Parts: sequence; structure tokens; C-alpha cells
Amino acid sequence: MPINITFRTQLLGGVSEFCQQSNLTLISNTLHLVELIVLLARYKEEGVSLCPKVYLTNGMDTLSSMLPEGERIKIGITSQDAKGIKLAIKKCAPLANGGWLIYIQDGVNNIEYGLFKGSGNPISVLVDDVLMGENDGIIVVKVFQVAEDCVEIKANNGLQHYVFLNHRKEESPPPLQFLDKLVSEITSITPEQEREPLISFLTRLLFETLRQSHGCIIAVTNMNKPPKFLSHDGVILEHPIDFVNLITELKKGQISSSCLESKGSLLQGMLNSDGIILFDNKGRLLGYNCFVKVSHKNDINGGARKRAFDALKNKVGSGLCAVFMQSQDGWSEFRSVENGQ
Amino acid sequence: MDNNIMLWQPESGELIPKGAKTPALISEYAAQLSAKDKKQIVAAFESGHFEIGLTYLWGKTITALKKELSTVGVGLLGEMLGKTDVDEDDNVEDVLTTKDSIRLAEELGIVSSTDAMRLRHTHELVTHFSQMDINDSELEEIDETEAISSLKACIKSVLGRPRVEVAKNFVEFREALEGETLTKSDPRVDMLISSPYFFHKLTVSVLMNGAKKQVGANLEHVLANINVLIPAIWTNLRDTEKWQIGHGYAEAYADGKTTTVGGLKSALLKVKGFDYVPENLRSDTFVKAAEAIIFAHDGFNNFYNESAPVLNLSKLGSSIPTPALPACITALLCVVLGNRYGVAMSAIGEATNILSALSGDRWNYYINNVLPSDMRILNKLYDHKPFSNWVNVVKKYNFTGLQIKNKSVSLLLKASTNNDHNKAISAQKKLIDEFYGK
Repeated sequence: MPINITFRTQLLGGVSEFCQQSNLTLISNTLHLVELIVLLARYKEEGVSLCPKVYLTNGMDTLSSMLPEGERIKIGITSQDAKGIKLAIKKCAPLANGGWLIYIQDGVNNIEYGLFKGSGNPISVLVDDVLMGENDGIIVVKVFQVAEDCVEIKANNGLQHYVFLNHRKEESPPPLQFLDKLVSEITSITPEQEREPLISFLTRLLFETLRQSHGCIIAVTNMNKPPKFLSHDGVILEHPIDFVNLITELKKGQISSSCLESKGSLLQGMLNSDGIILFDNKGRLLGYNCFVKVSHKNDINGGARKRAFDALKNKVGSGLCAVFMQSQDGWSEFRSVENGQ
Repeated sequence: MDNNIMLWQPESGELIPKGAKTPALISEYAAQLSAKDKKQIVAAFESGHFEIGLTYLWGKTITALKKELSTVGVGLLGEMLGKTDVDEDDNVEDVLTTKDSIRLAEELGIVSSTDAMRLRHTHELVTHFSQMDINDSELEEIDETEAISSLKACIKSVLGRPRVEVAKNFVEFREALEGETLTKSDPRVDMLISSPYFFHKLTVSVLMNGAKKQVGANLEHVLANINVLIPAIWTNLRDTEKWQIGHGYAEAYADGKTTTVGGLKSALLKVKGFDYVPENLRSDTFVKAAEAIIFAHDGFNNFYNESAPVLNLSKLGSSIPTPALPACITALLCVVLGNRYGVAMSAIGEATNILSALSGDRWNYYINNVLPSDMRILNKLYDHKPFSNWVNVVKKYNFTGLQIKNKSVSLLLKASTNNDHNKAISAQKKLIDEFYGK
């Protein structure tokens, strides 16, 4: 009789400590979390891949009130078991886009599920920055497919794991792990009053876009002018898109939020174009569709993007202060002057 | 900062000697007036042109007072007035009405309550005579005694002082809240807890203003102090101040201020105060509309200018969001109560319509949570005409039928129902004393 070998046993053991320490009744049975992780790792409805963000909590009322101008729609109540969790995801996942998130509230004998969202204001604080910190007894566990076959589980008590359901090595860096560093470089010398809203805006925008992108390279310069090795073959905007100015004007009520969002849409379009996108560290988008000369001497395994990234890595410290690359499968690489990574 | 919780006290003392009785002698003590200004004022007074002299003097006095007030920070003054969109770059002249300036000067201890009363009187005198139509102004004029007593009041309380010497202790207090982190065991925290309500209100304003404007280390101090002080005084806070904190959180959240949101969230969780976070910032529009009414009410030609902002507020809809309720009711009551010269006939109808649409619950909220610290309305009750209009309001909306928590408020309403001005004044004085702790 053949013996089946599955990830299941390994996964049960891997997340049991997380479940215990999170103190959420719903996942006190480790199997519930495992079912959810496996469900989200390659979730599809009607053949379409979906990657909803799921928040398990014991205090949805308070969490909702922490998100002014947010919304909450209750979809239903179901049993407090794996079957109930599956039903909640099935009903909610197709709706969880455009900023909508799934919540599953732990009840006494059942779970309530539905959708919620933060403010529609593009510079408002990120939902995770509000919900995923210490909340005085309110437990929040976030489960989310970061890339195909990789699910992030995170609790607001600080516990966090990336669960790989493929053959990646344990020490593999998680996908999009460098996004924060990239945003930090783009905003590094912006005025302090505008930095946090700009970080929220860019993080939200880049995260959503990069999730769906076929891959991209973003370079950040600390020079006053775009470096020649990029500007000679690329589209350099005559008037850079100055996100700091846009945010200042939005806060003063001189422009509407749609004006900032429309500039964000341009960036999304650029991310879906070929070539390198160029920012400076003052929060300005300088150009896109840029190409760099690639040396064919280096022995590099990979396609054109990987070669371009390697060429740009050598420019960090001489014209660039950081460079970020995301591959087609969602995994990213990063190099900056500061950390030399 | 010393350990006395009465952090700032009005400067008193005899600036003008009793022997100085003529305009020339009195104006000698106006340190903030140039020789040319003094000469012009004295000339106007001596030739019997009291109205011209007094109007000129009043302009100089208010400009100097606003300039002195601006030294504590225009942003903070805006917060103390409950104005949400004021920052340090705004011109103090645009932010403060004359009445606001006198009230804030009194609250901050820049002038004593007696001097504030004299300044108010001078303001009303100047306003009254400047608003007269041609026929009346031919018949009426300011007499010499009134003019000289106003001249004295202006010089004694404002123009007689050297510039920018005011509110030193207050500025120190503000700096402490923004420049150091207080611990729970700090004696200043204990003293704040047992201090009069005015200090609680002011502390909330300073902290929320700091959370909005400060960055870096100062912001860290402010947020740490919010987490120490707000839980310590939360149970004593009235709804107006609780909503102010909740509004600060909502505003910081919408503006993407991650650090501020983190600090305020932590404090609100400690006091279970998320009920006071507005669901949206729609209330801002109502608060601004209410501010426009107050601005018109306190300004020149108020009887003509009040109707447009009242109509604007009315157009916003009948459902006033709870966070904006205090500002809106205060503004509308200002219109309905009027001042010692009467009411704005063009505005009172619409204002009454809006007030009449308020439910018993909302009046209950105002009377119990707002009125005890609504200095603007309480101060109006001194004068006979506004008091008489107040009596009508109390009867019309049956305030005595509400469940009143505060004893002095209850006495005030009872006296008002009986149309007993003396008893009402006595209750009103008690409320003011409770608020300022005097």
C-alpha cells in the first residue's frame, strides 16, 4: 500500500505555535488556519485567480470604528469550522477588490463574515497600519496570498510567517519584501509633514499594481537631473509628476483626490509598460520606458529584466540611490546605497 | 514651570495712577502707542470728538491685543475656538473676531475678568455708534465719561503694557506638553486632574493641536503625553472635548499621518473612546458654517450679515452630525438670543427653524454636555435682551422637562423659566466659576 506524502503535516506543525500565541478561538484548532492558507494559496473562482486579504478578528466593531470614512458590509453568519471558513471565502472573495477586504469575526458558536474597507482617500493611513498594531485585547490575524503559492500570515501581536507551498528554500526572501524599502528611498528627502501620507499613497498604489504586474524595474536617483545612462533612451517627462506637491495641494483642498488618483493611474500604466521607471528621492516621477545598456560579458542567468537590473545595480552610488526589480512571478530584488543589498 | 496648577494668572496692578483723569494724562501710559497716535487721540477727545477718538483707539487696542495673542501660536488659538482649519500661517486678524480676542485674552490670563468686561463694553459702545443710521447718529453721541472710561480700559488692559510679555507661564506650559514626556507619577498630572475644567479643555486643545502640527521628537512627546493625560482626565471630559479627540484621530487618519494615528489610537483604546471617532468628516462642513455665523454675529453690521451664513447652514440639511452639534447650536443660539441691542430680524426666522427641528435628545445633549462650558452663551445672559430671548428658548423647547445632570444648569433653567434674571445670573456665575475655577 503506497504511503501518501503531503505538505499538510509539515504545515500543521509549522503554524500550530502561531495559532496558540494568537489567542483567537477560531484558529485554536490549527486545522482551520491550515485550510484557509491552502484555500488562499491558489484561489480561483470561475477560472479567475483571486487574492483577497482576509482578517480574522474578535472585535470587528472596534476595528470598524478605527477606520473613519470606511465601510462594512455584513454578508452572513455561518458555522465556526473549516466548512464555515470556506463558505465565507467563497461568498466574499469575488467582491474583495477595489480596496474591499474580507473579515471573519469570531463569535461564541459561529462566525460572522463580510467585507470592509478603509477610507477612499488616497493618502489616508493604510488599513494594516491601523489594524495590525497593538489593539488592547482585540486580536487580528491577517491571511493573504502575497504571490502564487506564498501566503502571509500575520497577527497584530507581532507574529508573522510566510508559508511557501512550493519548493522554495526556507531562507528565500518573501515576495514584495522590498516594497517598503523602495518607497522609503523614493520619499527619503521629502518634507516631514508630507512624508507619511506620501508613503501611504505610494505603498497602496505600488502594492496593488505590482501584484498584477508582469514584472518591472524601478530606479531611484538622488541626482538633480535624470542620469544620462537612462535618459538617453527613455521617456523623461518635461514636468516631473511631483507627488509631494500634489499631496500638499490635496491637503489644502486646492485639488480633489481624483487628481492625485489620476496621476497614480499614469504610474500604474507606466508599470505595465516595458523598460525602467525612474523616480527621484524627492517623491517625483521623472520618466518611464527607459532602457540601460547591458553588458554581455557578465555571466548572468536570466532574461532581459534580470540583465538590466544587474546593470543598474552597478550604478547604485553613481547616479542612482536604489533599484528595485520584481519578476513575473511576484518575487523581488533590491539594491540601495544604504544597505548594499 | 512651577508646581502651581493655576499656570497663568492675569497681570493686575494699577497701571494708571488714580490722579490721571484727563485724556492727555491717561494716554501718557499707553506704552504701545506712538507719540503721533497719542496726540491724535488726545486731540479728538479734547475737541469733543469722542466717537472718532474712541474708534481710532479701539482699532489700535484690538490690533495690539490680537498681536499679543498671536504670540501663543495662531494654530492653538484656532484650536481653542474649535476651528479646525487654522494653521500657523494664517493671519490672526482673519482667525479671531474681536469678541473672540477678548474672551481668549481673558481665558489665557492676559486680562482680568473685570478688564475683559470693560473691553467688551467698549466694543459694544463702538459697535453701537458705528451701526447707527444717519438720523439716530445726529441725536445720540458718546458722552465724555463713557469715552474716558473706555480710554482707561484700553490702556490699562492692553495698550499700557510693553509688547509680548503676555502669557509667559502659559507658553511654558504649552512647551512642556510638546517638549517633554510627562510620566503618570509627575505631580503636574495629579494637579491637572484636580484642576478646573478650563484647564482640561485647554490641555486637550494644546495636545490635539500638537498632534496635528508637530513632527519628529516634539510629535513623539505630544503623543506620549496624550497617552498619559487623556486617560487621566477622560472621565471628567465633556462630550465636546471627547469629540474633539475623536475628530483629531479621524482627521489624522484621512491625512495619512501614520504616527499620529498610532498614538491617538492607543490613547482611545485605553479609554474605550472610539465611540467618539466620527464616521466621516462631514461634520467639518457644519462646523465651518457655524463659525461663519459666529464671525458675522461678532462683526460689524451683524444684524445685516447674519442671515446669509444661517441660510448656508440651513442648506446643509437638517441632520446635524453629533460632532458638529455644539458649534451649530451655539451659533444658532447667538442669533436667536442676539445682543443687548436686539436680534437680526433677517436671520432669526431661519435660525429658529433649524433649532425647532432638533429632537429632545439633541437638546438634552446640548444642555448637559455643552452648555456648562459654553462661555459664549452663558456670557450673553448678563444682558437683559438676550436673557429675555433665552427665557423664550427655555420655555419653547421645554428645557426644564429634560433630565439635567449639573446642579447649576438646573438652577439656571429654573430661574430662566421663572424669568428671574438675578437668580439666573447667580447660577450662570457659578457655572463660569466652575469652568475657570475662580
